[in-house]
Amino acid sequence: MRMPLFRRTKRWLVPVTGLLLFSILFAACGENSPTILNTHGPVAAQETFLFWVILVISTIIFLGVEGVLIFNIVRYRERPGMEAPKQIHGNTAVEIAWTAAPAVVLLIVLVFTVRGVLAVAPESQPTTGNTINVTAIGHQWWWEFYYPDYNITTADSMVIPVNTTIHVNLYSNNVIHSFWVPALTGKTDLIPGHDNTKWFVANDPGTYQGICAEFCGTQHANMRFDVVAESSDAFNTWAINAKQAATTPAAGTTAAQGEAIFKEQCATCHGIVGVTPKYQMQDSSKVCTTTQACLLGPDLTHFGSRHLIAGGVLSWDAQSCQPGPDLMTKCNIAKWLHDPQAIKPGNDMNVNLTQDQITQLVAYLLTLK
Amino acid sequence: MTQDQLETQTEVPVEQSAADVSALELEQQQSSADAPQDVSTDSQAESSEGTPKKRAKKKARKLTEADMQPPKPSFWPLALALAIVIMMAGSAFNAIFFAIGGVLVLVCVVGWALERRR
Amino acid sequence: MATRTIGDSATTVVRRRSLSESYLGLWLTTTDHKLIGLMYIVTGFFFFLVGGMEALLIRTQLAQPNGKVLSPEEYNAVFTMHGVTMIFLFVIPVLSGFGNYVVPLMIGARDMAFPRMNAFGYWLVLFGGVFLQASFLFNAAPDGGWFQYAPLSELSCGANAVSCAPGMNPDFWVLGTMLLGISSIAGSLNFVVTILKLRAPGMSINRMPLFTWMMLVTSFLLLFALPSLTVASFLLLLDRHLGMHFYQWGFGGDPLLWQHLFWSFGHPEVYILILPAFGIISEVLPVFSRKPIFGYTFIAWSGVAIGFLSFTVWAHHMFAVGLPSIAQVFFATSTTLIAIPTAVKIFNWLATVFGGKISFKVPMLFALGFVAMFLIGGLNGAALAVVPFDYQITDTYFVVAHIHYVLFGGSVMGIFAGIYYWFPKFTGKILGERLGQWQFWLLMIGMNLTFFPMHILGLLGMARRIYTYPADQGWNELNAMASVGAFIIGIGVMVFMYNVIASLKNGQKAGSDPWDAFTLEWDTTSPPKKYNFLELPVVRSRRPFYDKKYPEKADWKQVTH
Repeated sequence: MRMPLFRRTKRWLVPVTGLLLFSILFAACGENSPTILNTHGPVAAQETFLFWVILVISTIIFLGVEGVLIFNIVRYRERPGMEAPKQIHGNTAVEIAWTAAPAVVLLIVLVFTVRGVLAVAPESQPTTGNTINVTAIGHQWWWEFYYPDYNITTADSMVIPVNTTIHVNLYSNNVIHSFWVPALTGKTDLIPGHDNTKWFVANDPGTYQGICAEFCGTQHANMRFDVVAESSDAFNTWAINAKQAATTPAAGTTAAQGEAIFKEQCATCHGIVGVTPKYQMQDSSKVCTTTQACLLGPDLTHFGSRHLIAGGVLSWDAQSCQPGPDLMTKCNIAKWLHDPQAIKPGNDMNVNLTQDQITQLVAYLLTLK
Repeated sequence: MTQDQLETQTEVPVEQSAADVSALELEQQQSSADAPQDVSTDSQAESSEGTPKKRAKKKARKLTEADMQPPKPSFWPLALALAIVIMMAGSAFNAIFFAIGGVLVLVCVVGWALERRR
Repeated sequence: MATRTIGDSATTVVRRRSLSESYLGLWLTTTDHKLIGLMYIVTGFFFFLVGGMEALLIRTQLAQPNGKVLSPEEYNAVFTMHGVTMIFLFVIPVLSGFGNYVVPLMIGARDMAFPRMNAFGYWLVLFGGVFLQASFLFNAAPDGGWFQYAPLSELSCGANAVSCAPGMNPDFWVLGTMLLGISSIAGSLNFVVTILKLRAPGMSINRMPLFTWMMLVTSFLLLFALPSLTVASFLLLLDRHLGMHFYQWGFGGDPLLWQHLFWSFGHPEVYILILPAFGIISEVLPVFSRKPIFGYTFIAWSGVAIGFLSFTVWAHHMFAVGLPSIAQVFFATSTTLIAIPTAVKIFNWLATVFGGKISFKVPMLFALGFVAMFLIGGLNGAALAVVPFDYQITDTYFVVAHIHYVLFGGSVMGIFAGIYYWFPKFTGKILGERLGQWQFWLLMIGMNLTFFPMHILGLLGMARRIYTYPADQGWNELNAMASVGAFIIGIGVMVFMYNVIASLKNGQKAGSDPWDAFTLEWDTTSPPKKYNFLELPVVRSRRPFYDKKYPEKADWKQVTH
């Protein structure tokens, strides 16, 4: 006896609709997502392993409890001529049993939890093998990375060697941010005034997306970064290159004109070693303890070998930024320079550049490898 | 019945307005027409006092006067709420509002405390 | 009666009608718990619509990548106010309204212990709510999240942001929540005294309805949790306006202090939002299964256990802030513990329905839907307690899925169960069955379509509180699905509103006891008289009205409580 609403519905429609709806979920299998289900390091692997444990236990409980609910609804629904049910008030033994049973299951899960906490904790950082230190500095709304062992400052992309323990110091002098690279590690917050640290290892070379995971203001949505894991040799090459001052473009080229514009308009906020007056790579977390002591914008000394712009709001590639008539429509750097506020409203960059100036700047930035 | 009601009303304190009086009448008529309520009262009266409807009706009438009154209305709660909002808004936005609100809060608290409830 | 002599009219005094006798005045000055309860519910529902509009705005903005419906500033204000409105201006007032209306009736009392304070609590909700919403008019709606973390709340728009000045937004939040906090404290005091002192003779604590039990525990939670929020907010005001540095790291303060204080309130707060709904379900399931609640003692005491434990788990909202491992383990343990009494309740509810004679009237539909949906919320909540997993999915849409399964699938379903159950008592009319079924299924389908995909979005790396997302993250279809679901919920709510209006006009008349229920509030007229009960009710068991109607099968004859 179905309720009035469904009296005329064909029964088979229900499971079919259900399956159809459910199948949509698989359509969104997250190609290219910064998913936690595809891990490339031991920390993330530990953490995601627990997901599978939870999924299995939850599914069993879900099917069991919902099953009992549906059974009750079907078996004990009111039918004509049904007599009044037995007025049972409780059964202490049964109730104790179903208090103890979930307690046991939860205790087992708790054991996994505690082991996992201790395994990935800062104090459990591996002491053997190679370690690289990086300080991740959160700004509103972009990531700065400083390598104290090499005195390298960069932004947006964190280059690391594979199979090496990366020790990250987390620093912010403004609001709370959170450092999260789903494929490699769970998140830890950057709390002003606190010396949080974390560690992780990347087992496979690749580019892994990083995300700011604590609401930090207007452009929290666009505060991404990349972790670029390379072989040790490639990393060493990168490090040596990163310590060099910026390349000076040949005189008379478009790039040289770009450098001139940079000195004139951009050097108040952006540092390029050898170009921005008095600018050196430095540990912002030690020097920029007040917001006024350091430059507002990211270091651009080797911008040409990165591929993210402005906290990862856009990515760019050299191909689309070659000089040409459609530079403004194809090149993301050009688009950014043209109207940063349209792309990332509320960020600190306000410029007014002509198309020529933009063309020159793009040419210059491309040389900063 | 009607005569009884009129007589009862003249004994009622002057504070009661015409509106209240007719409301009371309406309730009495409703309560006598409302079967479950009276049946229960009657059966209670029977089981506890052992006398039938007359006693129960008399009991109901006696309750009509004083006990059937819900708590008296009062405007102090609304006034105090408003005063507090003004004071709070002023505390962050405008010192003058804060001062005015503070005075109003004091006035409302005192008024609330001294209000006659009987 | 129609003819009066001049002598008669001499006894009627001619004077001006006072304020409290006009229709408006009746409402403005009432201290009657029933009218106040109705005002709470209607006002709360109005704010539900406001919060719902904000939800629809959010989902419209997020339906597609790179949405341009809302600017980032607007989005941040909208998601903040969605949370604040739903929590402080909808769920708490409506549950408080149910408590106000029903608890005195359930315990056989004439009114609450402090009628004027009762009214005071309501007016603060209305004025506080208007004050909060007025922030939009000043273009200063709170935009730091409903939890308003420092230092963002102190800087207003960022230390380096050259293009904005510190605004009034956090101040609106602080003052608004403080006002609502005062209201809740007043209400809670009232409930505690009423429940402890005004129960009818024979109604021991162990015999009072479970809804009353839950309101009692909730009231204690409010009394002990609100001071944390008040202190936190007050310190924030001092920082912002009197140059103090409680949350400012540069001067020896600590942003984490805010989090500890806020979540010491915030966690008990979520139990405040759900326990009364547990109470409603514990009333509805037995009536529509024609059996008493299974395991009254366990359910009552598990509510108390949840109340106590809720003060020990607050830092599970802070697992990612870098607390020492020993603290992580402690809070993981306490959070795991609190799952146990909740599981017990679910089993007891299932056992109540088992072996019963289930009638699928709309209140029961919502109650059963509650059990089905709250289970999911409980499971994904237990998942969040697994700390290393939490490191991956905290601050992602997985958490949004959890909170909405427990808040929508839990509190909102519970609220609708309560509305359909007690509407006949409040108004004398029964809400339409057919429309109620439509509403129920629209809400069930809508909420699952909206919030289930969010589990997956969280696993796929979508963070919370982002005003847009790029097109190449693989999140597009799931977001679109969630947005469709939100609009289905919206349609369900509109069906509800139509049902209310239509039923008030032409609905089936309800007698005093349309559901053949068990508790004392049904032993009155619909709506109850101003004085509630003519005489003190007789209470000899947990189901005094059942006993009265079926004296041969009365509970007090079968068992001793």
